[in-house]
Amino acid sequence: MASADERSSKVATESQIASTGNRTANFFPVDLTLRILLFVSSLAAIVVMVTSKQTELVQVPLIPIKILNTAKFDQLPAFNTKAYPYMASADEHSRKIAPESQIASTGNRSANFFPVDLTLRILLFVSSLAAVIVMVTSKQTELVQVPSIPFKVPNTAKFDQTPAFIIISILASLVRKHRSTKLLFHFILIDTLMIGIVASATGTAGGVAYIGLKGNSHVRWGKVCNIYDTFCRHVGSSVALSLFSSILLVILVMLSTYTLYRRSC
Amino acid sequence: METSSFKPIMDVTQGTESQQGTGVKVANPRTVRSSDFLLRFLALIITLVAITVMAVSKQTKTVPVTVIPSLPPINVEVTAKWQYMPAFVFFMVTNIIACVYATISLVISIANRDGSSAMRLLLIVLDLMIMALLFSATGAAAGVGLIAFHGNSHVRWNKVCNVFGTNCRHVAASVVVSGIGAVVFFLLIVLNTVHLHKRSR
Repeated sequence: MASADERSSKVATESQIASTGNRTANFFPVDLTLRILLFVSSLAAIVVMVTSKQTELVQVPLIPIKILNTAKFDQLPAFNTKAYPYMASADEHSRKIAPESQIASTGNRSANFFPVDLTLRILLFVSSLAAVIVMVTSKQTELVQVPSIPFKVPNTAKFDQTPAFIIISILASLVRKHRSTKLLFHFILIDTLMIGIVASATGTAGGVAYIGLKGNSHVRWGKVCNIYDTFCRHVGSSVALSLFSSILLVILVMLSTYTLYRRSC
Repeated sequence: METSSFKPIMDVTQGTESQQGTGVKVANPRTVRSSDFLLRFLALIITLVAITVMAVSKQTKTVPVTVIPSLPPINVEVTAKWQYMPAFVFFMVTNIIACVYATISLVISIANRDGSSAMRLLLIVLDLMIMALLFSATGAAAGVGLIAFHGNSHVRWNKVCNVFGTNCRHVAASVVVSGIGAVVFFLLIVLNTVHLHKRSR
């Protein structure tokens, strides 16, 4: 009973808003397209990263010892941290789409960015998923000369993102209860949090990947991308995809904020 | 039920209110405004501190280098500066941008004391960009700093923090301070969004 009352009162306020602010801009196709794009791109990134394993025989002159050396994303902590937020964000956004479709059915109010929003979110999901796949598949094994003892690389790819999953699913279920501006407000907060996580992960991976690409003579860190070329390409494309997702997230928050602003005046 | 999920956000606002000691109600325009000033000023100070700490982190040290094993090691002067590492350059540039933006936005929000909603929207959007930049710069500097601290055997990058101790401590402090600055920008966005949300009902 109580929920029915609540709903009816909400519908009333919504219709009020719709009648007062008759600035209904229907962005549904744009939103949907953006979301689908997001989904596809993150899926692609994950696939690329997962499939990037490469083993090569490298001829090294002058030095007799050759060992099989493997480059994997989880050997560098900077790349490892990157995988976590993505899984979370992918999950979050896949869940977010559901409550939003509810709104779309009920809400006919001013500044309807739902389509744009939905598209952006799908886009975001895809690009983040793709980033994870690209990163995961970036394993590359090479025969490299090593001055001292050949070392074994333990193959431990841990993918327990359960904490992130749980937290995000709780948040998503909370979000699902509330609609209208409250929902919008929660979306802004969660998305802003996600921007922080994704942006810092992108920055970390990008910073380390740049050293891998160029090397640094001052601290005598040699470049590794001439040896692990495929690995580096995978990491690079993964970083690019995550940069894309963080830009998408910024656009999403801007849209939500603008909608909130339109409703506030 | 509806208000329970809302609590943390209100707590944030109330926390800043109690610091100010003015407002009683949540999202009182005056309290929001004064906490806005306070947070912007805080962001300005914090990014300035991060810039300063990183800028004074230059360290020169004499390190013995063995060229040929039979000869005694040669002493070589090595210098660690933030300009040598691209990630730290990015970190510095971003922090300078954030510092300048904090100053400008403080002036704007003082000039816009009556609280035009459009200006608030503009500030939220700009805060958002600066926050994303600051987070990524902090992440980049932290990632490189972590490799400098631990080294990485897989790609044969040696640790350098045992040589450049002071430099490493400066970098770590600067990264932490810059992270706090990014969180302050996040709080600014939350504050202004709460205000916008309150007005929308």
